[in-house]
This record gives sequence, C-alpha cells and structure tokens, in this order.
Amino acid sequence: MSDPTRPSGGEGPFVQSPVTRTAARTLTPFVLAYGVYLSLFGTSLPGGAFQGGIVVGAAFVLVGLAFGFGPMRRWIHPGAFAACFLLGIGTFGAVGMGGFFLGGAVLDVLVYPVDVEWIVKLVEVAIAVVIGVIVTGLAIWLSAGVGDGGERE
Amino acid sequence: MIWLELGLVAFVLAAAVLIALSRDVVGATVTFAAFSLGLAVVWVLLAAPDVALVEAAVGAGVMSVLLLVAVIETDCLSSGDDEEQRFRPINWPLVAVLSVLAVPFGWTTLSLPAFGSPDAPAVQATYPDGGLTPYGYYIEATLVDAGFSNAVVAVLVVFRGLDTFGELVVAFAAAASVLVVLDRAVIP
Repeated sequence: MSDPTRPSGGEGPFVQSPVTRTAARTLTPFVLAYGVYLSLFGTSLPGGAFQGGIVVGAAFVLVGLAFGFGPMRRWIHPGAFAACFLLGIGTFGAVGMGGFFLGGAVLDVLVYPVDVEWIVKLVEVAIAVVIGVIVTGLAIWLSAGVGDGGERE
Repeated sequence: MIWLELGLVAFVLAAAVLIALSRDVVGATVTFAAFSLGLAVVWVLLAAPDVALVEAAVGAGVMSVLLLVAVIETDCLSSGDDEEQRFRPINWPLVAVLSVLAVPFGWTTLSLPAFGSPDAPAVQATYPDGGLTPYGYYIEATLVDAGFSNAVVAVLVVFRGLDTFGELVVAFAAAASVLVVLDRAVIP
C-alpha cells in the first residue's frame, strides 16, 4: 500500500478500516458460495446465471473496496479477464454448435443424449463467468480513472 | 401486510425524490443504495425473487460502487458544501412534463387485471380462439421438454439461447468500449 491514510492517485475509493476489512474477509467466501449456488441451482430455484454472476462479481468488488482496487489491478493480469470471457462465451458457443452437429438447430440443447438439465447447468456456469468478468473488470478498471496511453500500472 | 407494502412504496418514493433533489452527490449515492434495497423488498413482496436478486446485487451493490468511483474520479466530492441550501430548486416545467407522462402509465396500471388473478390473459394457456398463449407454450414446454422447474432459466437458455448469447457479447463489448474510452484497454 502506497499511502495508508487516504485514497488518491488512481487507487480508487477504499477505506483503511479494520471493520471493513474484517467484514470483507468474513463475508467473501459466503458471497462467492452463494453466487455459485445461484448459478448451479437456478434451474429449479429462483436465481440463475445472471444473478449468480453478478453476486460473484460483487464479491470481487467487495474485496476491492476493502483492500484497494489498485493492488487488485496489479494482482489480476488483464489478460485473465479476456481469457475468462473467451472461456465462458466459447463454452456457450461450443454447446450451441454441438446441438447443430447432433442433428438439431444451432443452440438447440434438447438434442443432447444426456438430461437437458446438466447441459443447462453447464451453460449457466459459462454465462455466470462472463457476467462476473464484466462486473469485476468494470469496477476495478473504472476506479483507475483515465489512463495514460495504455501503459500497465 | 398492506401497510408493509404501502410503507415500502412511500420509502422508495421518498428516496427517489431525495436522490433527485440532493446537492450532496455522495449522500445521493448512498440514498440510491437504500432506494434499490427498498425496491428489492418490493419485488420480493410481488413474488419476483429473480428480479429482487438482481436489484439488490446490481442496484444496491455494484451500481453504488460504480457511482462512488465516478464521483471520486471526477472530483465532485467538494461541490455543495459552500451552498446555503441542501437541495436543488425544483424544475417545475420538468415536473409538469413528467406528470403528463405519468397519466397514461398510471391509467394502464389501474386497468391491469388483479395481481395473481387466474382470469388474467397472461396466465391463460390458450387464447379464446384456441391457440396457445406464450404462457401455455412456455410453461408446458418447460415442464415437459426441459424437465426442470425454473421457467425463466428455461426460456433464457433452452428456447431463446441466441438472444442470451448475443446479450453476453453485447454486454462485454459495452464494458470493453467504456475501458477503451477511458484509455484502459490494456492488451499485454
């Protein structure tokens, strides 16, 4: 941490408060678990991939608020976000094309020989990854302010 | 129960007016989070837990953080401290225009069928001429073809997968363009 007293210089808003840190440290595992739960069990309960992805993203935002967005930007490689997005959208696209090659239409998940609920759960996890990446990436790079010609911090 | 709902609606309306009129942007942001939480509870009472989850997570959580980030990064923190009054003057012409707009919305709301009414067109399986309504089509197809119970997820993934796929691409493109505009498009 560069300046322990006040946020400035693209570090984004965060508070050096033990209350916030303890709360974030305690809550984050539960929030993450809840997000995964929402994504996986959205097929039979209220929830779904969009809700689960946003909750997972909110967990990362909570960590960033408590421990600083600046350290988080240095900790997470920017390429990881693009990779996660490609992984999620690629899984969704592969499932969709698989329906085509199994004799259905593109994105037709009813032609798979397994229970359709498992295919939907796979797609849901892919959607949740994409949504989580969008929320987390927006928060931690918006807090950096206007950039300086693309140089990495 | 009706008093709980009325109290919540009053709270949400008061919060909305406070957000619109406050000069203190940080205070308005915090009020916005409270507004979203109140709205989320309203959604729960209206039996829409999916929407309530999104409202609580996006409106109260992520959106407040993004607004706070914007306030801090644009140095709006100090504005309003030297002002005598804490609220903006009300823009009466705007209020008049919005009131005129509110008339058709309110009239439409009052002419809707009662909440949860079994005779509502939205929950009939067939139209009067015998064709399947979207409700009849999707609920039956969800239960028979998909074999799981959350119809919203079934529509999003099973029946309207292309829309969802495009949605994700558009959302990521929007986030990426924001970062490009801010000159934060770091490709290592």
